[in-house]
Amino acid sequence: MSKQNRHSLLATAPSHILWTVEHNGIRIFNRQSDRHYVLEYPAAAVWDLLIRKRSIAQLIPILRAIQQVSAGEAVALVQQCLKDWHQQGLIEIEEPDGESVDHHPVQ
Amino acid sequence: MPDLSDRHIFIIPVQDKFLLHAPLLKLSALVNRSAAGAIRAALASGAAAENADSRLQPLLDVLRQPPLLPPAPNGAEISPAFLGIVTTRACNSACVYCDFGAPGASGRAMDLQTAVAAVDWYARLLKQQEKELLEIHFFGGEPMTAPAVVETVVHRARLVAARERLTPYFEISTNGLCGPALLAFLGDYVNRVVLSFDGREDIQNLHRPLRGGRGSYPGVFAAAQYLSDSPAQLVIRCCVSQINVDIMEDTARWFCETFNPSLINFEIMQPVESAAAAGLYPPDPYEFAANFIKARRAAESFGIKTVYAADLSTEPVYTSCPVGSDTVIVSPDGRISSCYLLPEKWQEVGLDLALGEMRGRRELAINPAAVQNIRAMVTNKPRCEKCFCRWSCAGGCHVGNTYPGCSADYSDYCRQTRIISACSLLDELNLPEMADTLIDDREALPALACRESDRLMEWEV
Repeated sequence: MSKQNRHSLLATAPSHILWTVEHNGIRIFNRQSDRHYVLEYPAAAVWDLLIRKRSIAQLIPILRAIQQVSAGEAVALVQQCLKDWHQQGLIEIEEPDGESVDHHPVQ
Repeated sequence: MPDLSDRHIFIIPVQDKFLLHAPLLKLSALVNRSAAGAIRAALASGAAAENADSRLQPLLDVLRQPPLLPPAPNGAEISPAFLGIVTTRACNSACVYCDFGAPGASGRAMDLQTAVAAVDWYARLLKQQEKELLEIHFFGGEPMTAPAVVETVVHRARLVAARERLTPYFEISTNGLCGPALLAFLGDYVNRVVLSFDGREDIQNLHRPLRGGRGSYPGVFAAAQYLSDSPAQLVIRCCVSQINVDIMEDTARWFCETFNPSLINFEIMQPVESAAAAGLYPPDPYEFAANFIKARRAAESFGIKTVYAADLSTEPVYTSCPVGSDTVIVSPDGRISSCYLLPEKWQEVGLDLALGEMRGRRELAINPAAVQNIRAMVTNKPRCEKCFCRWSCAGGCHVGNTYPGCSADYSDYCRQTRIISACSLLDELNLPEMADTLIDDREALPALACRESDRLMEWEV
């Protein structure tokens, strides 16, 4: 997979995942495991932008500005979030053609 | 002995009665001619209570109190009512009466670093001034044609607010034509969405076509439906021309039946060349005022409030628009002003509403002298001095209505505002039936709307 394709990955929340915007971040509820997660910033912004179908390529400049970090640091944050949320079963990762794939590290 | 030059006590004819209105004393009353004359005489002479009708004594006691001027922005430092972000001047609509510079505007969106610098500057200022509400309004063009700017500002503001213990509040003025995903974003994050929506399909498509001439109605209808069910407060902003002025009541009822707005805002269209070329003109002020009151009644029956920007305010004000309340508006190119209109608009009438500029892409530099000049400008309104709306409308738009050197005569905007404000006073006095009678009285309306001076002490009894 090319670097460009990896940056075009999309994340979606499975149907058993509910989430809501709260004052300081985002609250996620996994109906399968009956567990709650609270995402504070900057992770809350990553979740919001990914779930709203922003590709990673679109997300990075926004995240850089929000967090005032370098592109490398923004990519690292996204990578960590994707890894954690995928492991927790909070997201599925798709390629732009809609095919569901296992987690790919973002470079 | 009261100051005989009492300029803050007004008397307004309403058919065969009079509204006594002293906004700086928070007093309003409906009186007959004889009572109005007695009050005037008592105040002019400083007469003892016993010389006036004893039933007027409570009114006289209040009217003899010193007036309380509204709090004004003061101090050397700017104290913004809110931070405005013009994300872009570009727009995906082609509204025939647009005067925000969208036709022909460049598609340039605000640099994300500029947007973040504005948010950070505002948050720092609020902390210094020990304020809590981090209030940000988005304007355009169409702000959602630059969604990354809106997303960046919202998330940066929420991040900073969480860190600094501030409360974020967002408002956007939009046409709603941004697609489901971005509408969902607005519904989730923006406290108040002001949706430009002029009514049923024929009016909406006539007033607000898309580029290329297609109708905007289906998209805006869908947006209004979505936002009605979202956590955001939906405000429908309906622009009125001579075409839809006589169906305002029906339009208000339709909005209430079809959507779930928290407010409906009616404003008149601006007289611009493109509108005239399309055969659209501002409505007759008397028709607008009368139909606004009818629309208000229709919406009230659904429990929904209808507003007009220059209507009576709950507290006396020096300005009813962002200009003069220290508002800071950042343009896509980093220019900072107190008005969201294009600089050319205010420069045309000799105003300088610039407040400062970005230094590089990271610092906002506000010019303290500019802040003081704008504060002073809004308090100097010769046309408004004798008008009972002096402390509510306060001149309306400082660029379009009461710019320095403008005519001392009332404009159509003034006339409609005076009628609407008088009806609002009657409503406040729990006399809506009088307001309803007044708006159908074509002799009483001009007597009220065109009166040169409302000052009680200048009244020829």
